[in-house]
Amino acid sequence: MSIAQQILNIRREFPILHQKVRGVELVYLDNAATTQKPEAVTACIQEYYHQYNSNVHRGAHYLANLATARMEEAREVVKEFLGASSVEEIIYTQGTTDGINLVAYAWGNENIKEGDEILIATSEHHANIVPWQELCKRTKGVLKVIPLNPDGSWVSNYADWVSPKTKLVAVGWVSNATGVVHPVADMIQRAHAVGAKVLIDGAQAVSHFALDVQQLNCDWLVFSGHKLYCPTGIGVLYGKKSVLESMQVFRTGGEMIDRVSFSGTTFNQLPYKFEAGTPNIEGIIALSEAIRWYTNLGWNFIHEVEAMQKRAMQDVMESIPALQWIGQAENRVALYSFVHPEIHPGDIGALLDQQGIAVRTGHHCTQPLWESMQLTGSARASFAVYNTEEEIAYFKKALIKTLDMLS
Amino acid sequence: MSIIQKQQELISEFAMFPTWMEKYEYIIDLGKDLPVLDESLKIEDHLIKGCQSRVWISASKNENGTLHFTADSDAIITKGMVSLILRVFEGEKGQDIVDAPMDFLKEIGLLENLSPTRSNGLAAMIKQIKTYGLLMQ
Repeated sequence: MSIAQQILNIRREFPILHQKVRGVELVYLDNAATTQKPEAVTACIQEYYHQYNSNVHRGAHYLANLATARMEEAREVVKEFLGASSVEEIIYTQGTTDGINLVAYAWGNENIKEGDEILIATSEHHANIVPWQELCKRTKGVLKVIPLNPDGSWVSNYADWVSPKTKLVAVGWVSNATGVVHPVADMIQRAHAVGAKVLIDGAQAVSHFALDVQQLNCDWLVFSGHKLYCPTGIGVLYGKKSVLESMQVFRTGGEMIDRVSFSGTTFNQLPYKFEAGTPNIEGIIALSEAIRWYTNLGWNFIHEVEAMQKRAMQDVMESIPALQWIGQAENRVALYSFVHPEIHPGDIGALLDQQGIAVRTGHHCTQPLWESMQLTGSARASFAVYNTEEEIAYFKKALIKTLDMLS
Repeated sequence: MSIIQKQQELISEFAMFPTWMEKYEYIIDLGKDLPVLDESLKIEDHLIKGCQSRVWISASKNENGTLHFTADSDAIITKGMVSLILRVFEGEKGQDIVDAPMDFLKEIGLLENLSPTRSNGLAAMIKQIKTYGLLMQ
């Protein structure tokens, strides 16, 4: 079966894609913001509420045991997906931002001292900037920032920013603003060489290539379910067991305790130590279903689809020289940011929207990146496994018409 | 022509365009027609808060007591929308601007077609124009 036919089959699993908006067929190219959800994922949420909704871990009854078992099976799925060594290393969070905040408090408060350096890059999402800025305010730590080349990649001597004072390197693997893939594997080695810990923001990476956290050897990796065909409000913090064990508790309350008394409270073991309160059970189950659904497509197939999209986008870029395509470094995913010297990105987005095309416009929560490029934002088209070559051809046509109207 | 008449005129003009792409084309044309705002007037005081793009609206009082508006935006569609609204209020008295109903935007169909960010921006522009009306009576 041809790739085109396979994509059409996949699209059948996404009812939301089969609709007209503003009188034309929807073309959804805002996947870096959030992906759509296949029926397998929405069905498993319904199944949970129709068949075994119950609070987990404490119940002494059939449904509670079933919900608990499903939730813990789900952890096994995430562990396999990330290549972690045990389920104790898989902490459920509300998403990437939540996971980074958890590390900033539960590890950062204790381990960052006055003058210690935290290293990030100019390409970071605000979620991987602000928690560290706040941590530095609390601890008198110092935030250091790797600059970018004009093509959006880190400067080639990025390792020079790692110093004996570096205690933490927190970097995004794939930029949500440019699509550029950064050399995190090498950075992890450089950081470990000076004894620093490394957190990888994997939010934009998880849908683009297979991960192996053990091979990567990062200390933490965070991602969100909703950029991986799963609902919002659920994410994962992977952490090396020894690192997670050494960390303080963050949120406290139910689920995460061992024993509570007024003379003192002891805490539960991993992974529950970091999971206070009733968890997002439906989200956890849906995440495992989404991972199962996505990885069943096969990474080879996913990469072939992305290669097709990149080829088709190459034609779009060459056909529209009036646009500046931001972050065209060699190593990148199918995510395209573009600006026009005289046209506001919001205008481009509005007219594409009138033609049924969903893109994002603005700063994409990466204001320092835009500032470094003397821009204020862009329009961004980002692709998922269900985007066809025909959609890209239509995007090209619509984009040419848009620029024509605005010029 | 009264404010209401000018609004009616805009409603009929927009009704001539059957598709939203054509209506947008007209909004863009309105934006291009807006006189250039002097750079010295692009100051923080004239900047409308709550828009994705930057919008400046400045007002002065004519000798006969009516108001004169000038505006600009770095986004042409936004500029077109300002131009559309200012066509209604240009040369009117402060009190009339304050009292004017704004239902015509609904009748044009503009409100339902706009993203929430844009309609918030539009609401912020109208509020600013009405504030000028109130202060410059």
